[in-house]
Amino acid sequence: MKREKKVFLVVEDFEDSRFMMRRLLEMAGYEVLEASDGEQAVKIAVDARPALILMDLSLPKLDGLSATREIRKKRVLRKVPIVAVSAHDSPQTRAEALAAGCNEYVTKPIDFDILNSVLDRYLNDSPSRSSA
Amino acid sequence: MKPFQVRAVSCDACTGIARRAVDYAAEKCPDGLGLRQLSAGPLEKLSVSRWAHELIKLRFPRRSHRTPWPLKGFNKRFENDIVKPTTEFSPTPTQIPHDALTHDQSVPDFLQGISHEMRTPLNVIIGMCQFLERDRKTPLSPLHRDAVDRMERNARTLLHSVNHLIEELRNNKAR
Repeated sequence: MKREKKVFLVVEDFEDSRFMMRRLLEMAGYEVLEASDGEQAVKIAVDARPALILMDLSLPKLDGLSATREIRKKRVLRKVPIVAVSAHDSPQTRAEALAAGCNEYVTKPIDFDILNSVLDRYLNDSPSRSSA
Repeated sequence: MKPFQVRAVSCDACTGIARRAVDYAAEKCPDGLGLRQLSAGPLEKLSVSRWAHELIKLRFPRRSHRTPWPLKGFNKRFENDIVKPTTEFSPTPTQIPHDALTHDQSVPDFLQGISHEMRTPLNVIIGMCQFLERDRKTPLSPLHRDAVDRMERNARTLLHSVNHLIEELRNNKAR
């Protein structure tokens, strides 16, 4: 069965990293929206209601944790899977991310196979919604 | 007119301040205020107003003995905006800690900043290698595949070295 293209939101301030994430995700068959800071992320998430959000934690304007909290406040986005992406592999940052409302925490460098299995798991748990 | 350029600084907090200073200056002085190398030492010991002044001096070298602005009130305004964040600049606590201006006990900040600066590009290189290796639409020739494999392997080795180095520095500091 042909998989329906799901829309992801990649939140990342470094353009080269965004480019890299977009290529990897498009290769895996997803559609990608991009946000370069936390405020933009919240806005795009509300407007586009992506199937999943990949959230870098250190962002300008509004950091990843705050943006996640903002997104969780929106009724329609309460259940959207948010995967935190961070360069810091410490139990503390991991715990903070989960406490802020992220579902999963992956560290950079992103291992494509691990990322893919995480994405599959969340997308199977929560199928993409049809737009309102 | 010589353009300005923000000096690459060694920690996120300083870089954040520097970027904002330049953004602000550029906005206030749109007629050709660019960026130029700031040759002074690290920003750590400079207050924001002093830093801003240095920036302005670069823009108006011959008039640096008097306040050159369009910039009247700039220092005050600028310090207010940065030190007491407003929505306009909204530096979040993780980006600009309150002690960023004095920078006394900033070794962890420094380490965090430098490790970020070094790891981010490496992560991009590794990610792009993974993409090249796996993209079925334009498969690599065996030779190119081998080259990309080696690139990724070496980037990972370098990343490990960077992680190791940072760990060592941190441990040394803790002792």
